[in-house]
Amino acid sequence: MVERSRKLSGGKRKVSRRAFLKAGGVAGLASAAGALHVNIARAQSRTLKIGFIGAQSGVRANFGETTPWMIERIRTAVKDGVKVGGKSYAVEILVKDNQSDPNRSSVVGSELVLREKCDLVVAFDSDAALAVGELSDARGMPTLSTMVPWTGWKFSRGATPDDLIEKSFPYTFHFFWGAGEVVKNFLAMWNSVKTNKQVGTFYSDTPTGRAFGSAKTGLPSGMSQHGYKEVPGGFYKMATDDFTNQVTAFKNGNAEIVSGLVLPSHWATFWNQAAQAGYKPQVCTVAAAFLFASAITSLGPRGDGMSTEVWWTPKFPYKSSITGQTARELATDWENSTGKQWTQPIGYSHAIWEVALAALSTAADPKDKEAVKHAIANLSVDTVVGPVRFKDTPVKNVALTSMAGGQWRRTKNGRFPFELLIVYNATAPQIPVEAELKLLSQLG
Amino acid sequence: MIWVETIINGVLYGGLYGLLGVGLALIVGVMRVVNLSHGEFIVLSAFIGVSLIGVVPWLHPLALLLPVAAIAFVLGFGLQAVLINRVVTRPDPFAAILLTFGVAVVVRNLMVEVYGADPRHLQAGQLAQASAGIGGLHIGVLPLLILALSVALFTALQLLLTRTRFGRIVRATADHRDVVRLMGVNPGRVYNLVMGLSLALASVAGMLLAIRASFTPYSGVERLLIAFEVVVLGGLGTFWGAMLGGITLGVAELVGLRLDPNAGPLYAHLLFLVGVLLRPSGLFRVRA
Repeated sequence: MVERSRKLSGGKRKVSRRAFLKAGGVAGLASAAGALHVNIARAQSRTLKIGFIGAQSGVRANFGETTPWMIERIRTAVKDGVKVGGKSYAVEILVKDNQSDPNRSSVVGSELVLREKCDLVVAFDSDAALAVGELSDARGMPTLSTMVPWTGWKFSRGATPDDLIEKSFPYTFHFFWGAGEVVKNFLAMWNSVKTNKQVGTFYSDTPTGRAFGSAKTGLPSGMSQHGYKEVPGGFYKMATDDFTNQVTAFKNGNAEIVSGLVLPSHWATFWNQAAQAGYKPQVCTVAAAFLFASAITSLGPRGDGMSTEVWWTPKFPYKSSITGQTARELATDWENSTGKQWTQPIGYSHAIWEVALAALSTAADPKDKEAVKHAIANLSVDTVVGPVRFKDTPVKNVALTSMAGGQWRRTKNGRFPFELLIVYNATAPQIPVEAELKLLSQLG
Repeated sequence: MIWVETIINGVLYGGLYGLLGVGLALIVGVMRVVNLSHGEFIVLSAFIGVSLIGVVPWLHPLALLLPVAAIAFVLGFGLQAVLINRVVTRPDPFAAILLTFGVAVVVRNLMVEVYGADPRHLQAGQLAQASAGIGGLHIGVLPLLILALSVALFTALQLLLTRTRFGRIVRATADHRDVVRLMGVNPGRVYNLVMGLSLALASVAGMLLAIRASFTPYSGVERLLIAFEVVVLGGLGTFWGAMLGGITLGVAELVGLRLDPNAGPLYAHLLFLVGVLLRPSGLFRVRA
């Protein structure tokens, strides 16, 4: 309205204040009427509106890297609309970047929920999942989220260790693995090699890092159960430039294993400072830091042998319910059209659309929020990341997905300098094991 | 041994902190203006370095220190000539502070617009991992180099201000802006040069920070806080004070983290608070 008034006054040079106010009022009425008209038209149309929030820039930009590419493919796949209960609906996808920022997540979240009046909102980022979750439950907006361990998702939304399983939400649903699976995979990988069982740990001071480093439910409790001793490096702030304290502590504590939850840019600083101090651990198994080939490649030769949790690789034996592509075919599609190596979020950035479209197309009426909510709660769909089962799930509002353990190794003559090999699969036996975990001193 | 290592690392880290603050100390000393966009220009210099590396990828980032400093000098000169000189002579110091605050917001959002919000880093190759063994201790070559460069820059700045004609003019302008006019000095032009020099120093800090760790367009705010603490702790307007203030903060932060790994920069901030309460004119205030 302000914009319009400005344009009006710009057009006629000499306008009296009264005339100006009148003109502004008329323009305001006109625009209000316009908005009303559009809303009526929308309610009648057979268009399903899906709002998407992801981190396409900011510290978690790596996780959103595949999003635009994937959305383009999904738009192509649904360009002729989807059929629900014999009626055909067009699909409109609205994409918002939350810049990896909680405040920005709230802003774009309320745009999608309140202004755009979407039929379904999907959140592909931890901040987005938390910010939009509260709003969606308050406003009755069916919402799907992923890309944050479900334990972190529930804790940040008010669950306690006692009601972690039972805590439920009316409209928000989540699919991912939990911090517990990561801990299991990490410990099993360490148990497969001989070390002094001293583990240096440090965590980013974020909801995910806090959940993972929690003394009761996170990595520390798993370690003490298996006889590993922690050399704590604490929770570091995002703006940290110096990790010499962690390096010194781990070196003096004789930690042969380094673990925790660290972002790639921070790990690069830590790992350089470890080299400067002459600290040489045998195993580096760190959550979040080694998910991406780009992060490993930027470490140069010192990236060889880093080990990580694996939630998706082209070797996962699943295929897409939308395009029928196997995991391998999807990854090759990405590599051929971008020239970049596959990344783990490809799987989930595809699966979230599989789950979203399945939810809308199994709903009794996809334009009815209650119907969509019931459809999600009873959903069971086989996606490219594996089965996603909300129906009869052991954890309220959460579908649990599979995870394995992997180690990055240098390739001899491959297309890319490093490849991720699966070294442990007991929490997801259908994913084939390719190699054994090697100590860093055995490599290079 | 672990404490020795912690303190040495703190001193090395503090050298960079000092460098973050010295440009700000210069501006405060000469113009009595706190440049709230100092942090943004530190980060902008790092982005300029990243852009230049994109053009000449075979060059080592340290070789870009001079070109980036030259660009930052021009930016500082322009900023002062076009904007800050308009308000700096007003009796109300808030005008200039608010202006630099506005500049900070604009520069930060321009950087987000142009470069995106992703963390960036300047690759220093082998140098980033090089280690020097001294008496059973392993010290990083890069942090040593950064400290040495800081000390060299501080010395050069001190010599420039105490031993040269330009330095005399700057000091005279700082003391009596109106009197130097009578001697044929244009204070505005002196301010332009001083702001250029301040941002050139900030640019070196920014480049070194980008080599040592990573940065985003939002990193400027935290750096400004450090720079500000360095200046106040060292004593407003003194340069060696800024260096010592930086080292004190660096050591306090790392010793604090050793005692409590979850503390973050808490102990450095606490030290700052105690320092301001006990010695409001600065820990290392010497009569100039």
